[in-house]
Amino acid sequence: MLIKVSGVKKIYEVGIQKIEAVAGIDLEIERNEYVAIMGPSGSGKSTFMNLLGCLDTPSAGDYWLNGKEVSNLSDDELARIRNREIGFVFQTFNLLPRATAAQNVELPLIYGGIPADERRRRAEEVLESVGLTDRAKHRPNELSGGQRQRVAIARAMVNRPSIILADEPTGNLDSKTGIEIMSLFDKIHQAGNTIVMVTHEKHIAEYTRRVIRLLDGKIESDVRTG
Amino acid sequence: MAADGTIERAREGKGQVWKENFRQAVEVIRTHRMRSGLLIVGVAIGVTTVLAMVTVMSGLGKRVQKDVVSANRPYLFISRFDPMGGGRDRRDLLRRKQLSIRDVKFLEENCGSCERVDLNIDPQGRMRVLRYEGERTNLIQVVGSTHNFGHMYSITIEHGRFYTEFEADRSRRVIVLGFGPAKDLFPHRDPIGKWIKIDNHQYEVVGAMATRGSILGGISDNYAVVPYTTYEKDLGDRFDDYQMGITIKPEYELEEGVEEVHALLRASRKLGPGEENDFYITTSEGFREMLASITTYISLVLVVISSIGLMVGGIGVMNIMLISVSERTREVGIRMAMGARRTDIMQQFLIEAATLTGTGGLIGIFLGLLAARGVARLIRFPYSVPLIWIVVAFVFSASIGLIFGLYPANRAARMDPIKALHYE
Repeated sequence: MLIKVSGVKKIYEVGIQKIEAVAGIDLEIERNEYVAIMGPSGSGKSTFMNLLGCLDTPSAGDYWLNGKEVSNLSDDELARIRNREIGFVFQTFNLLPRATAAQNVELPLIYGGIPADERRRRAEEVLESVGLTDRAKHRPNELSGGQRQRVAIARAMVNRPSIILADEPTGNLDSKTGIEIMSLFDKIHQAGNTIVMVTHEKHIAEYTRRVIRLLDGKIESDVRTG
Repeated sequence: MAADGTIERAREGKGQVWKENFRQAVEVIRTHRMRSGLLIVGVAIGVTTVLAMVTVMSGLGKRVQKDVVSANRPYLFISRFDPMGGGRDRRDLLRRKQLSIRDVKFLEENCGSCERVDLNIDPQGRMRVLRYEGERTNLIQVVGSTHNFGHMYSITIEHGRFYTEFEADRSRRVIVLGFGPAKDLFPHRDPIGKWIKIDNHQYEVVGAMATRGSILGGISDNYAVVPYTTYEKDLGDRFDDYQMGITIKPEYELEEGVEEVHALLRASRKLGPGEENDFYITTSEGFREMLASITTYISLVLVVISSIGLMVGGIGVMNIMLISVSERTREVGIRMAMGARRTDIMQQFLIEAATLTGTGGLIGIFLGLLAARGVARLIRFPYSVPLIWIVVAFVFSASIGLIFGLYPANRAARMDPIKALHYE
């Protein structure tokens, strides 16, 4: 089992009020699954994504990632997990504006302590796999939206993480480019990667093999389509 | 990922992040040229001031020491009381018996370690005018001394000679002019053999001294020396202070000389066993140390004052770093998502701050040394570059970045990655 979540809650205290953003979720995800998490805004899907991405720790419950209990690690240990186990793809790309495509892709490798020559080699490799070899030296503002997201995907894959977490990856793209990105995700999935994607668009979710719907911080439905 | 390479990688990993953080710092400084440039200039000015100050002071200190402790050989200076001392009532000390030629003779006869013994009469600031035909000097100091004066204070005679023991014993009206009065009275003539006037007495000029080339300038050249006997006869005054100078034979240690002179002077001045000394011995070493400590204190004060400029630079650093951190909130979020630890983020901003101030420091060191050299040329003192201060200046300016960058860097490191990622 790659991901095992049981009884996970995230509770925010606003004044004296307690808000359960995630109100007890049990979930298992196998290696090489392709999962969509859907739900209306306020359903807790963003909060749950943050928990899965080890950007945050749950208020209660257990989270096992790749055989390791990660629900109450220190900040430094979480950083290490994010670096080794998780590749993030964001709606707004989140590339460093001053760095070239290649430098952006190398970023996780730097924090992973990989020497420069190996970094360059691996960055070239993944940039090639997303079809951007000729854009390696370009900065984000010299790239189209689709190209930027491909750089971000290359960055997410460069450390060969256990899961790729994509948060509305097509949200800032036109539909044609969105389709291109989704077919890239397809390719990545077929190469054996595990992908968890948050989306509120049904036609995007259709690319995946399993759709989990959240409502009020709980799983409303969990349907395998593939 | 294989577990075996983990430790090695972790160790090497630190180096990778270091390099990245430094590269990033240079990149950021290049991107924000104006902002960084102004800050670097600010720090550079601070460092320039401090370093120029220190360099000038250190050169000045050496020069003053050389001027004041002018003798080439170690010597003892004896007066009735500690020339630099305070504490006791000076009037009380002034009541002590003057040193006299009898003390000098006694030492000359009995002191094995003494090379030469000089008695000199210090007019305690009273000044006189020397005249020759139509010319007159400014107010200068005329001192009385034995024939050993020139030897004692390593004075070079430019024209003529110093008066002899014979002339001194017979209280001849002979005079040796310092560089100042010689130039004033005899601008284009040989002064030797001329008769000059002080008040109503005439003195034959037997010698004229070379300039001592001191930074004290005119003051150290504006004097004349007559035999102590002549002085007592013509110029003496109850305010005069009699002092002794003794050079020690090279085969003796200064300490040995001090001990012997001390014992003999007590005998010469007939002090009983329990009685307090009525004289005070200072050594050339003592002078040197005292001057060194004075210049050190002055330097320290100046450094502290000019460091305030650097502190202002430091506040500038903090300001800029705070702006930089808040502008790059999103970047911090991205880096954290990619696996940067809080310490990595902290380090990134600290390196950036230290790079800024360190660069300012380097520029400041360069300008400071240049400025010090300019000042050194202007007031003619040895330009010495205290290497340690260069290192100190650099380390200090980089530390300013670290210290004032600490708060902004900490602020960046404590960011919540989720909030930082969604920061607009």
